[in-house]
Amino acid sequence: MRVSAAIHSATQWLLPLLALGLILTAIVAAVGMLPAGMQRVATDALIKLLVVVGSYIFIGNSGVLSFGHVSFMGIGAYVAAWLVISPETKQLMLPNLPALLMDAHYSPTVAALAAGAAASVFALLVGLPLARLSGISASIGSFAVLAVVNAVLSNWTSMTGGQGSLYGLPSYANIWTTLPWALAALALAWTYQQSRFGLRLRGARDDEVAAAASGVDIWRERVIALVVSAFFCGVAGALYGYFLGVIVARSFYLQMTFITITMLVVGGLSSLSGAVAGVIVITAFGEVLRNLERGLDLGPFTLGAHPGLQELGLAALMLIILIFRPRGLTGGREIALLPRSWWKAGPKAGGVSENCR
Amino acid sequence: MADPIDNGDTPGNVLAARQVNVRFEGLLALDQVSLTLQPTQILGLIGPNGAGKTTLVNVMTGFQAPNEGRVALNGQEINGWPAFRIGRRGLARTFQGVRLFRDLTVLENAELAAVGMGLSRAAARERAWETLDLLGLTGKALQRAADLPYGDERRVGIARALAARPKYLLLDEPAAGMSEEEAAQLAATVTEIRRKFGCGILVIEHNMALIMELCDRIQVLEQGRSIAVGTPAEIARDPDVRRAYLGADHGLTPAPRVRSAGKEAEAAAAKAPILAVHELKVSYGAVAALRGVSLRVEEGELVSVVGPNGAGKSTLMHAIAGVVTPDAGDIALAGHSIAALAPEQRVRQGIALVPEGRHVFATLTVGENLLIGGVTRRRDPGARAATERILEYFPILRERYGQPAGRLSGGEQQQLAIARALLSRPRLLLLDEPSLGLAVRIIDEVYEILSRLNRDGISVLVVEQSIARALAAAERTYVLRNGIVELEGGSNELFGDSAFDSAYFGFARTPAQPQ
Amino acid sequence: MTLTLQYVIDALNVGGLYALMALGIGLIFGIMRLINFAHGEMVMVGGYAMLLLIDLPGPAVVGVSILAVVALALAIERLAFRPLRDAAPSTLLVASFALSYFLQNLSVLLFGARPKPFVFASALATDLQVGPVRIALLQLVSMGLTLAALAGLTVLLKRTSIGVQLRAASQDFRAARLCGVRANSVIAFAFAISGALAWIVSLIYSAQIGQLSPAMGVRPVVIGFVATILGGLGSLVGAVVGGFFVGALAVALEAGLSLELRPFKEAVLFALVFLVLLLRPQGLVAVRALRERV
Repeated sequence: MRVSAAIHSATQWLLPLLALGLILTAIVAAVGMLPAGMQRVATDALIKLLVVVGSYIFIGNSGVLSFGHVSFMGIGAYVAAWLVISPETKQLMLPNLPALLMDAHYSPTVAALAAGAAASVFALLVGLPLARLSGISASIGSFAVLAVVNAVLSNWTSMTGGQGSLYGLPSYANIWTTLPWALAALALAWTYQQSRFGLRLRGARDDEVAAAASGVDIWRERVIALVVSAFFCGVAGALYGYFLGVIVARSFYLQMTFITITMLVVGGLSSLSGAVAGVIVITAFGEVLRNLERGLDLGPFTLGAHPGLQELGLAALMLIILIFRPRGLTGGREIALLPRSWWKAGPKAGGVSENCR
Repeated sequence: MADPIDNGDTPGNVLAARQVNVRFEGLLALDQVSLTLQPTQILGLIGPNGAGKTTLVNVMTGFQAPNEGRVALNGQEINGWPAFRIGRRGLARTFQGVRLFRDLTVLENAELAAVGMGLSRAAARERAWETLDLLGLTGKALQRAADLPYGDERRVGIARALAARPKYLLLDEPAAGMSEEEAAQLAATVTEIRRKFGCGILVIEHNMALIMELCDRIQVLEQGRSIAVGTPAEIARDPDVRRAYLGADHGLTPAPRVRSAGKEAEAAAAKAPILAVHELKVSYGAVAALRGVSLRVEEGELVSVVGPNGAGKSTLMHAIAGVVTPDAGDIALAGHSIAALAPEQRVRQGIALVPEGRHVFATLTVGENLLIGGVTRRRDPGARAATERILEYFPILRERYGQPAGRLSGGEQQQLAIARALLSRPRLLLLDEPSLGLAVRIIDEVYEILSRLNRDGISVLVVEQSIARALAAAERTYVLRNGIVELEGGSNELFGDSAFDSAYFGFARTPAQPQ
Repeated sequence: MTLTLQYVIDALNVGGLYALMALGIGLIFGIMRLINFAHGEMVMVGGYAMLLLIDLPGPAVVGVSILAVVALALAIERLAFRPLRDAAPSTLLVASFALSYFLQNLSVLLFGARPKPFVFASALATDLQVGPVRIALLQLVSMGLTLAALAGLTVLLKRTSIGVQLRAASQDFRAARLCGVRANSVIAFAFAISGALAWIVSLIYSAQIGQLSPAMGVRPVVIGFVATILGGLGSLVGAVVGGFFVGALAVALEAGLSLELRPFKEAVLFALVFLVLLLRPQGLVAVRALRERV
């Protein structure tokens, strides 16, 4: 019984992760054969996947809807920018930058790691008070964090260029350089979920009172989840800078928040597969809409060009999903390559002390 | 019988609460209550609704801060400790509302408790399997907790608490909703748990048979005070305990109602009952609250519904009022089905509910509350006159007309709630536990009013926790237990009937108490 | 002294505007536990409606545009929020976010993303000299409108049957239904009032900034949001107090902060929200906090 239980546990642990990883790699490989335009879309999607998976690590496991993750992304983007842009360019754009940052010149990977670390530190500071809140208060609090970070990034002109853009970032991000980060995020998100930390937080998500009675220090678990999730959002911010070559504060505010929350909600808030599914579906949907936006030539007639249609369609989609399928496309379940009966069966109940039945 | 434990000394190896006071907004929920639980001991904690049993458990487990008093676990004072710290120290509990982690599997529910104690996931899983084994749940281990049938939910709750391998285990109504066989199995399981793990176990229960059989000692709470502690035999003989449960100390006798004989009576009998509930089934998710309840109220009757906690009484009222949608069954008002109507439409049909806890609009004035009550009739000619008439029943409300309703006393709020319901000119008045939290004298007044209203032609259905009160006021009484009607009859017949004791307390195998 | 008086007038003006926004948001929250992000879009639609009708005589512009905003509010309730009435608060939050986004982009589709100039009753652009102080006529009109709105709302909530029903439903929705209060009527009424309040804000705000854009409602709704929280979610009086408080604070920060720090006043406001949520979650005006019974 022990052996079969061990095998069962191992497969339950490994298979969904493998499945997601393989699907993602397959999609990327397929896209690799398409023209550069599509590749750019895929890179953008991978970066958003990083943000969504990062957000999921906190939101999905804790049940707290946080609006603040894009602020981690923004912080990561600027930290990476400080470290990766050449000192000469920085001299021109941000003449008042402190010497330490002015002289810094690191590789994109190192800068991305630093971005993640910086975001995590910030998340720790913000998380210590934020994790005490629950439900709607926590959501509002996280929104406040987003707004404060945006206000600071938009106005601290000496450090961030204020409302203007920072340029000079290396164009380092393509589908092959971003994929490893995405896979790493998936692996860590899954490991966290399966670990005792993830389990404790999920219990607290379902019932705070029962979790506390079972010995779960809810505050601590939330802080841990927030710090881990911020890391990937920070890295995503760095990669986003590498992708665009330019960063500006308003990219890390409401629009990005909306897109990433939509992806998470549409896919399914409470499962990692949902996060991935959401990114894929919304990206595809967005692409279709964008082409419609440009105007389509459908043989006998043409659909006129309509800017704003993409966003409109996405918002409508989100509303529809919320009304008709509030748990998202995956309904909160993880991808299961094996038939459901395998998951339900489990080791046989043998060798049980009968006298207590 | 006084509490003999209270020597102020806290010996090392026990779970002890000492002179705990808890106050909720002026109400004294616990009054100098002390309790001691020893390892390998099974202690029963019983008492009528609102006695403070769950509050006491909440204090011991860190969910309720006491105003005064101390709690110690194996010599360590745990006052003011957060609940999770207490959990980690070896005190585990179940909940009245079960509170499973709905999206997690049964196995994960148990694992979580083990993980909460600091075990690794693998070790926790091992222990979870063992624990599920003990409770016969291995077959359901991989099912989502939300999909479980009612009977299994409570066992999973126990498994979860047990997976923490606690030193002390507090079970809050573990047998609620269980059949006789299930309750017997539970008793065997609890005994086995004690034998295997040596933990001290506290059991809050209403099922007397279970308590008597299972426990080494029993402590009785009533209205926040500990009124008796002793062996089951001692408690069974204690007159205070019986009085506490049946509340029959007001010199009340059943009200013999003389139904008018002859043609009038025949005509009345031929009419449809003002309320007919047929095979009503209501469930909240997987929890079956009502499992096929049928009852009726004839026009002009005053009928009561009694039953232990968790029997489904409030659910019944909510279903009749339209707040809760039943899964099956029908509700008919004077012969017409109202099952499809929204609550506000049912009011217009002639049903008014005075909800449990009164629910007056605290920031609105008394006058405005009454306005709301009369909202369905505000365009009626003579609406003002109707309001005047109602105020005759409740002169105190006229005095307090302009005050915010939140400032009224409990009894006054109850009167306001009834007046508010009356203003919709109902044919049937529903009341959910009108005596809750009120002093005896006030309850007398309230029932005075109810009797007057009934005499003036309003049919009344009242849910009561005080059985004597219910029997004294109503012509007929239904005893609800586990979501079905166990017993029904005229008050005369029921009063003093041992079958009644059976139905209410769940005696099945032990002989009835000596009168 | 004159300067102080000037600041007071500014604070009242700004505060009044924020109070109206907070009221619009608070009304809906009180009754449905829903934070209506789309309230900002109602402000935006009011502005565009007035622009479209600009060639009609004044009263017609006012009348038709109010109707347009109220109609929008009712449509929002019926189509987006009624199907979600029993949903979890987080779902409602996300849904209202999505709705706000939807309306903004619809406006982009219909009117284009570029800001359009808005000039309404240009006679109001003059300044008056009242004693030692200089007040823009527009400011006076705004304050007058705000006061009238607050007074009107008070009368509505205290003297009319539907108003009392609304207050009862905000207190205890279920108990109100058990008394026969029609859920749908009361909610529709709340949205209609909320729409009317949004219209007043759109008139004042559009005239003050002089232009319309699809995203113009975002700033007011966020500030209104802040004001509602500071004042205490669930209390209408709190919303008003919160609004004036934020107005006073914004003006004080504008005056008191050094030039470099001035752009950070928004950061200060939000940091304040965060603090309030942590330390005094029931807001400045104490509202009964909801605690779960174990």
